[in-house]
Amino acid sequence: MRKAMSILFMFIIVIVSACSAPTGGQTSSNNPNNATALSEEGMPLDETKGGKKTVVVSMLAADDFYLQAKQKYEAQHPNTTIQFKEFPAEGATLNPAEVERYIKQISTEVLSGKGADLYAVSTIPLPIDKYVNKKAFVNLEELIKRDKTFDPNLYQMNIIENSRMNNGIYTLPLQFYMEALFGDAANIGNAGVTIDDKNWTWSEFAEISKKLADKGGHSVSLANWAPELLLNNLVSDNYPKLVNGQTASFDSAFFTDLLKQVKSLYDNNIIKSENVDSKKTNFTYSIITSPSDYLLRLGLYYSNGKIYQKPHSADQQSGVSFSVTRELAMNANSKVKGEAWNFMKFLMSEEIQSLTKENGISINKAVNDKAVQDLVKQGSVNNPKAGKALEASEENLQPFKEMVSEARLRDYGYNDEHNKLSAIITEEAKAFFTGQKTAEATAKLMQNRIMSYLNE
Amino acid sequence: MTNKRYWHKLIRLLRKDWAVAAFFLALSLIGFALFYLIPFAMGFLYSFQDRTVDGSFVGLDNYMALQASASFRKAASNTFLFTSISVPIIIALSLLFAHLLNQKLFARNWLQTAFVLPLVVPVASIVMIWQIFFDWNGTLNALLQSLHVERIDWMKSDWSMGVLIIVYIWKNIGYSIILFLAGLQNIPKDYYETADIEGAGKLHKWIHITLVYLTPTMFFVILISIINSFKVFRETYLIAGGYPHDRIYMLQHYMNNMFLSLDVQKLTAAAVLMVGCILVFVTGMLAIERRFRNFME
Repeated sequence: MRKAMSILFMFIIVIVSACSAPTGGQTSSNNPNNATALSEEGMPLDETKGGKKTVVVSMLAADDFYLQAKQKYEAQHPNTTIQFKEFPAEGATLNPAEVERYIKQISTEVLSGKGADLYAVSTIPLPIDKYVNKKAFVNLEELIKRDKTFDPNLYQMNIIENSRMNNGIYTLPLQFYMEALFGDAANIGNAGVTIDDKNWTWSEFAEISKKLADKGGHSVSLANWAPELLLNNLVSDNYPKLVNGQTASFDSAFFTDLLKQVKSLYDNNIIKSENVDSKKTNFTYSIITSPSDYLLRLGLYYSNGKIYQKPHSADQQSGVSFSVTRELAMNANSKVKGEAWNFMKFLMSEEIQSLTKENGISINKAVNDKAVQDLVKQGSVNNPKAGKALEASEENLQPFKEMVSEARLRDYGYNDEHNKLSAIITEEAKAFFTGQKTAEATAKLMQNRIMSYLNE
Repeated sequence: MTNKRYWHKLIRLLRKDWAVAAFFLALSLIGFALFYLIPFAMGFLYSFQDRTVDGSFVGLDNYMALQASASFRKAASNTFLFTSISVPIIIALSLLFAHLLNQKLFARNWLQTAFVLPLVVPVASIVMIWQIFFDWNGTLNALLQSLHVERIDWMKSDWSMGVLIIVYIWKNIGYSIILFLAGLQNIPKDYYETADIEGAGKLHKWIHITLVYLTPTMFFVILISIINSFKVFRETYLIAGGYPHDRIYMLQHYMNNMFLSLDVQKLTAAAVLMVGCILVFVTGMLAIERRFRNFME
């Protein structure tokens, strides 16, 4: 009896302690073993049901862009049905609980390998890097290479190429916003300062700002930018240098220098967290959503504005970042990969890309060129805030075109609060920016916690 | 007629002890199975599959992946370190306090209540106090600074483990004290009287009477303390979040984070490993205890 009791007792102890940690669950990961059948041209072969194919696209909500694309695609391909799987939401905007539920639901779908054929990612950031690590998505680079009908010259390949993760292209951007600096060109010219924005670094930025302040420019160069946000922005720009798979190098000299540089910019009042009217600062960091938006902002921030690349860190090649507003990923377990890829290309085509202009700059070069030409033909853009019409000329829009082809820094959304990395960086950086800890100690703490995250 | 016969049968069955026992046990057993046993068995199976839906058997792949994770190794060694430091301390301290409370002491009842109080106070409310106390800009550092001592980043250095040990002891010592107190009061007074007559010293009495008769209680307290040491995660998580300084990154942090990122494979594998370790340890403890009892008899 005593033996039986002790066994029972032991059993209960084990179970109780084990269950203090969450066990069980509903989802799982994916296996990459499903080798895709390839046809002679190397494109995936599809499973069909009586000659009919169905491509399921999972998305938050099907907007006009997708609805029209579906209609047109089905008209051209009578044997294919495009089916949208939308997330049921109560109101027009999602509350935080719904956002959480959405991310959970998509993760469950993706990781179980049973979900839709295509995943459309838009406003809500999904943990795509985790899905990619689980090999849940197709590496589109292979398709791009094999597909002879895919002409890279038609697209903004700099955007696609710089959306790489884990040495592959797992998401296909369709539309994007660009981020760059607008500068008060009149003031900068008056002060006799020249800016080589293709090569300038943050320390040159600081020097130029000092010169500007001395020679009649504005004393503040940038405003309305908290140091933690700037730091995270720089981390995003230099992400490949700081994080490589499971190793991070936040304790490197490169990063501690970055920290010190950011702090000195604020200590010297070159950048301010507080909001200052853009007309009283030398530069304004801004997104650009379209050619006409570029002209509007040019007139809005300064009476005589010019666009500049963001200063570079170390040997960084470009200072123009972009954030993708619409992109697609393909399920590694899809049975209709060929057709899904076809639909993806269709969404990139001029026909579909010219349907909507509100969601950003197009991945299709011809569409952007046409938008610029249309503006030039129109001659001017009315700016209600500036109260004047802005001239739209080839010459005026040339910097925009250059910037678009220069955009090479993908903003993966490291600024958003769902992201663990940026949350850790923001939290630890506070004590450094208030001068309570050294850069080295701060960097060490960041490295310490980020490594725990990366190595799980 | 048949009705009556069934009735009689039932009555006769109910008179047997085992039938009644089985009936009463069944109720709790069903609940236990439903919420603990079955999920754990399923988790055990998942830990050998590559995914939960239509998964195929992959052998020890998940365990290999787990082993390859540096964070898991860190978490396991931290948990082990925490348990091996905090349990001896809590045993020693609670034994000491139990001795003190066993004597005629001023305000004894009040002291007993005070020791037990942390057990019933909700953790969330207490955690905030700890947070304010140990934060980089917290009370303790303010105090240090006013004494012109350089302040310490309590939660983000190796000190964090110390803080956790203090929290753990504060939270769990009351329970251990009560158990020890009961054990102390169960030791027959005659043994001490006999020893007094034979002229034994205080230390001698303590080692050969108190400690020996306290051993069964001691085993139980050690077991409970170890189990509770695994549960310190709740306080840690509330104080420092999901990714604390890596000195206090425990196994449950790992499992919790795996659960949130829906990595059921690694999660179940980690849980099975942890259960395995506890099982081995508890079996060992019980074997020693059994041997000790045989020796006593």
